[in-house]
Amino acid sequence: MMRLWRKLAAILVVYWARALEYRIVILIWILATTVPLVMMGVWMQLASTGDIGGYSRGDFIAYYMANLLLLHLVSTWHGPELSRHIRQGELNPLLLKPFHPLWIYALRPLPTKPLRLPIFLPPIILVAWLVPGVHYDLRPITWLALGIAMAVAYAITFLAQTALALLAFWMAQAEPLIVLWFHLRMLFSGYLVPIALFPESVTRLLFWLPFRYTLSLPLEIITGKLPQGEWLPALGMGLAWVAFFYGVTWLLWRAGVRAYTAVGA
Amino acid sequence: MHPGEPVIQVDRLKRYYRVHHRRPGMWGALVSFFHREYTYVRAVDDISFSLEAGEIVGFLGPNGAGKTTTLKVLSGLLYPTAGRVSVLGFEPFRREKDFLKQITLVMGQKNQLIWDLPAADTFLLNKEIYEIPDDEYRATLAELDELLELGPLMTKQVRKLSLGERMKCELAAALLHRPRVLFLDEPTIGLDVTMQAKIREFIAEYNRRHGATILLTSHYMADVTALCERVIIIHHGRLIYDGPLQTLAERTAPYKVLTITFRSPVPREVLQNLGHVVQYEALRVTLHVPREETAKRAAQLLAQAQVEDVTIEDPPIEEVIATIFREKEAG
Amino acid sequence: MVEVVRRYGRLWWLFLLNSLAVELEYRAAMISESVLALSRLGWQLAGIWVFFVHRERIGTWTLWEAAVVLGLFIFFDGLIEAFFRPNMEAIIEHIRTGTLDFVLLKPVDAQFLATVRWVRFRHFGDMLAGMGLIAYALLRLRRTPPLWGLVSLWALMLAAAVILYSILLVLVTLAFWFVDVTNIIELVWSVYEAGRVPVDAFPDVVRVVLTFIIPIAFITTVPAEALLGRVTPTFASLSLFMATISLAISTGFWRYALRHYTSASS
Repeated sequence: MMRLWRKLAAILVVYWARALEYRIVILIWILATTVPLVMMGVWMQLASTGDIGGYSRGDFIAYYMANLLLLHLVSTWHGPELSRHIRQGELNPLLLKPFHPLWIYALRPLPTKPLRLPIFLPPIILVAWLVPGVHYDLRPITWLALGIAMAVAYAITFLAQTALALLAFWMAQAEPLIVLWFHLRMLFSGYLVPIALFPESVTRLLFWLPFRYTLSLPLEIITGKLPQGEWLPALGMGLAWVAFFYGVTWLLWRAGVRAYTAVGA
Repeated sequence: MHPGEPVIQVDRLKRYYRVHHRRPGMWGALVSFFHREYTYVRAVDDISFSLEAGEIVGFLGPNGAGKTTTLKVLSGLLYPTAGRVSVLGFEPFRREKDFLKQITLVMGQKNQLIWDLPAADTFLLNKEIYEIPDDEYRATLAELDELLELGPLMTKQVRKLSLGERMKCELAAALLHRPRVLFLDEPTIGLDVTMQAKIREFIAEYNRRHGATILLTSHYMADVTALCERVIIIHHGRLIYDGPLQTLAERTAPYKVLTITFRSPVPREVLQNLGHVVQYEALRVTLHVPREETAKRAAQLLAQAQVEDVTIEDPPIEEVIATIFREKEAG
Repeated sequence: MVEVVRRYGRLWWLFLLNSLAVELEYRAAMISESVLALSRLGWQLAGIWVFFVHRERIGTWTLWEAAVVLGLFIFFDGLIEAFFRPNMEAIIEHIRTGTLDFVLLKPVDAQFLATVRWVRFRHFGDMLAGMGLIAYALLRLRRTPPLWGLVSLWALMLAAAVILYSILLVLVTLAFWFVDVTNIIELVWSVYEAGRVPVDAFPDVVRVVLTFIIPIAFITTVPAEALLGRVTPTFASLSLFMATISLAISTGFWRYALRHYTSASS
């Protein structure tokens, strides 16, 4: 176990160095996420004539500002790359390493995450301080729930994308499926609009689907929009999806590597 | 251009680059933001030469000597810092349509062919770009096909061609409009020996048939010795030799090479009195002797030792050129 | 003059055939991109639609009026991907590897040869999806666009395309000075996202910025107003004026960069 930890730490250090190397690229990548700001602008204008679905103008600002930061903290976009690596045989050298190759894909995005904080935290603090009506729930218990919800979100995004990417073991074109997942996630994860603002039937359905737990749940918790009594069922549902995608990924990986090494691609 | 006038004329051409220096780190970045330090690199520094119609001239020099820069000025890609350049009576840097239709530039390390399509598609596109009439296009293509043995290569996607095959197509694409002046920058780089020879033969034949004027740079001396009667050598942007390849050694190498096979071993000391011993094996010796004393020393040798065989040659061209560059570097 | 137009027309036709041949080499991508065009249309429309679950209008726009704006947004997004992005990538690659020399040595205008060389047909799906959305929205509005509206729509869409072309040309021209401009382009380009909703759906400050500083309004909002028959002649002519100016500026910048390139590069 100690050995594994050491290896994982080594991976983290390497990719931290790389993240520093590419900091400008990463910065631009982050700043180029403008869609939430566009949506925020429209909602702000609409809410100037009264609250919408329980969201005031300040709530929208709080929601989308946190959205920008959390999206980058809990997401990976490794799917297309992984499926390309599988198709072009670049997975081979990783298969020879003395640890599970998927660890690399899972850990690689993490070191770049802290780089997001100095970019997004100051504006968020500034806005919360200066703009009336912008509130976050900052109780210790909320931080704990937020931490778990973020871990769940990262796990689902990572595992679901990995599972789809692993289809490249059998399919020539797995990338479009991953893009399709991106589209669904953008719409239903709260990235575009708070899911509470969908018609009630959609919101209720989203409780049972994985998308909410990839971004919306931590957002709902930190903005204080989810009553504390509903935290546990929501986190439970999220964990259930983690377990589900873990199982699927595990099965696909086992079958896939067997198929892969069999043809000697 | 008037008849009888040189096709390419370069008169005191200079081409300098301004390079800006920056010390490393944040502080360096800040300093250089307010105060930039420049130095000038003299890529081409005051060179003059001219080419007559139909000549093939080898343009030699080590990396960074200014060969490519000169070719780019001649083809109109770079503006001269000073001096006068004329090609076919045009000022190249204006890049007039009538000028561009009469020249071509082939760069061995870069390709203009469309990567994902067969070369034939690039040919058709160039036909349109250069406004080549149908029958002329057919005739030229047939001729290039015959000379380069293009055949099935034309209908394969370029990305599936080997390097040599791609170079053949590259040449064809560059010559479809029957240019009168060819600038060839390392046309054989990276190719295997047989392919190099084929490309060389093609260039010679093309020149014979169409009387095209060709300026060629190459790292492979074999290209130059096979194609060029005349060479221009530049070093650090300056012209150091312009003349026949044959007399290059005579004029610049102060020695000749004697290769001797003896019937019985000769002591090294005896040979050292005759010249500089380059190679000393039991019965086979290579000597460098001063050019003007060659005959005298050879006679001495024949008198002093039992000689089976002797040859007297100019040093190989690579060696001559290498020596020139070394001396220039030292001086 | 006529001869020149015919010559460049023939060349462009050849460019199209070349591009199509290249696309056919990547058939799978062509099919999947078409499917993705539909899903892209889906999520973007749903994102707009949520506004109308709670309000009748955003700014002065009803759902299907706003859908016209979104349709134009998707159409131009496809247009950029199909016509502009491949050339942009090719130019940056030319500058990086030095093959721009081949472009400059052709007896054809370099800007023409470099900027309209490639078309990625796989993104026609998005252009069609955008057009489809516009047509469907008009049907839902039971609105036949007035003749004047249709004429000005085409003029304004042309103006919009010219403005987009000019902005991208300026951005890509920066590659002559900075080696890697891809990221800068992405950054500037992300502002285009604001075009998915009518500009008057934003707070006033943002609206002014999007109209006069970064002219996103002229790409989606103004043509949509033309189609709905409520564009003012002032705005229509302003749009054409902006297009002319931006084309002139970007072409001038490109020429300046080429001169710099031929006097500075090695």
